[in-house]
Amino acid sequence: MNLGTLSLRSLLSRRWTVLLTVFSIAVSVLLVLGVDRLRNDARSSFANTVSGTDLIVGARTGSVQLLLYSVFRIGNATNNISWKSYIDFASDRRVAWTIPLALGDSHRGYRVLGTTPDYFTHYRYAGERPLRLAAGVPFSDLFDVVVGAEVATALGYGVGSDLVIEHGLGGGINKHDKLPFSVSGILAPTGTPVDRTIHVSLAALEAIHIDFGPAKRAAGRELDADALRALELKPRSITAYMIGLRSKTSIFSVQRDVGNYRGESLMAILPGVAMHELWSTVSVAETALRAVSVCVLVSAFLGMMTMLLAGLNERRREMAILRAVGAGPRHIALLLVLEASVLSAAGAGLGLAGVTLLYALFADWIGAAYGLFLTRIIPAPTEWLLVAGVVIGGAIAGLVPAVRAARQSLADGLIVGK
Amino acid sequence: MAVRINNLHFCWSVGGPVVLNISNLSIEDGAQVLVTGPSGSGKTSLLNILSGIAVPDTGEVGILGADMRAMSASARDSFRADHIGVIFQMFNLIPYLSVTENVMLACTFSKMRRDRADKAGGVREQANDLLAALGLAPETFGSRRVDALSIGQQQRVAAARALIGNPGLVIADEPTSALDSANRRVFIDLVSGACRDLGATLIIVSHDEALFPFFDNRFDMAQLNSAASVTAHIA
Repeated sequence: MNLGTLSLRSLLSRRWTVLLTVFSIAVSVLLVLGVDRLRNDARSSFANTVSGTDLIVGARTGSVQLLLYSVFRIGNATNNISWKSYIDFASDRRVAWTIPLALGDSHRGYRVLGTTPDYFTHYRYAGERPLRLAAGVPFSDLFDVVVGAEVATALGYGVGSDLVIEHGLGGGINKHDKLPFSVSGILAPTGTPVDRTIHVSLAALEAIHIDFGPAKRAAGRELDADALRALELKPRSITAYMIGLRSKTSIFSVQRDVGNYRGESLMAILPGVAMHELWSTVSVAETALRAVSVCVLVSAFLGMMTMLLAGLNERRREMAILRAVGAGPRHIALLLVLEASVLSAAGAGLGLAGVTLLYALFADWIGAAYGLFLTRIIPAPTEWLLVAGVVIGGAIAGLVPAVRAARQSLADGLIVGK
Repeated sequence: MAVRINNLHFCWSVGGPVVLNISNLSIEDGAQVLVTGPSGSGKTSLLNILSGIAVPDTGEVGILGADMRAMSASARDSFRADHIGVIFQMFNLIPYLSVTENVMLACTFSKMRRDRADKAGGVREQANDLLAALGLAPETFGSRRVDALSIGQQQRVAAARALIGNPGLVIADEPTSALDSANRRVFIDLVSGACRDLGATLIIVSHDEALFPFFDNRFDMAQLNSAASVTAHIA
């Protein structure tokens, strides 16, 4: 029999309060670890929204703004860029591929993106993942659309469904309703804004705008779909384009050339850098979340201290017996610190096991449902470090009841409750 | 000498009333002594001094030849662990330990006590031997929960704990007050017999007059402690 087993036996004898205390520590550790893991995964998922793209080119504006409208489909471009400037860079020797992006219209709240079939071959997200069609084929006809997974689910579209594109960002007043589109393909879920996008060809956007405008409509000069198909429409302007280079080493020279382009004022951003810039603006929320989870941990420690302190009075007899068999005040204090350490260790271990289990069980589902890719299942070294920290923190928290127990046992001596 | 006290003055707090004033108390090794007296006569204070929990402000206190006043508080704790067995009035046992574990507990804080128990065949073995000697068959009672025992049985477990590892001195504070007269007699017989076998000095503090016939050596606190008699007059 030593103090270690004594503290274990003592805790076992109070198993219900002990269990509750351990659970509250476990929950808070789970929260701290979970928030930390989600934070990292959210960050990398976010950074994975677009990958493999070396530069994004648009009209001169803020780099975050360009990123927001070109990749996240948030907000609007202040200016479009000319088709000519796009062709100039698309045909540059250093450029391997480009994806033109034309934004501006919507369909029932979802953004319509005009692009080329290159979009389906070159676009990458989450490392090296290409876009995959869950059903159908990429657009080939002028009035074909390919919808993202969320659009298809939310609006109940299948291959062959008809839809009408609205001018601008909705409201339903100005509809291109004479020219219905039909769904040719549905993309598999990506967990990126692609899921919420409706893709059409650049020519299609030209087609619906060529004949658009109240004046022209009133004049009765309307072209039907077949007439438009025959026109072989060329886009005049686009919103932005993505560039993949033959060699990474030319990133900065191409970026400089874009910036110095004579025809119009353009800018090129490195998506990774702009993402980082954007993420740092939301890191306040990240810090707040972390602070909250640490507060929960502190409150769990306070709960443990309360439990140990509250138990001291009814344990005076026990302490007097220990004193009688030769325990000094420091043994009594050590006993309490050991109890606090055991409680924290059990709580921290349970919390780590909990977060590991939850991740193992729900990683796939969360990835599919929210596009949040949970990467880590096995605890990381830093997480073990946190567990160790919790045990040490618990031992320190245990000093308060420990000192109190030692003092009490000194004052009581051997004679208690006579 | 098991106990040698000379010119002892003791008060619980600095400047507080003197609760113990003993000019001389000597108890020989192996003696069995009953210290009697009503409550308020200083018995509790004397127990705390004999067990090394408290030290007097002035005077000499020698326990088993050691000068208690020369020792630090933690040295006195170790000394108690090594050399003194204590039996309380009641609630002697730790509820979350079994009967045998409660007896073995006395060896937790003392290597000396463990070594002596090992010489007697091992800590667990001596615990069981003592339980058997005190009338609690270890195979029946050893692994029981202590709250499944009667008060009389609990007191005997406490006696076994006081005796394990052969301490030189056993101090008992009103050990029989919770027992009926039949159990009282059995308990005193068993404990004094066990102490005699192990050569331990036994000091029982009690106001229970029924114990008088069992002891030839009796000290009356009222006579021993001049501070108590003064207090009594004022009251």
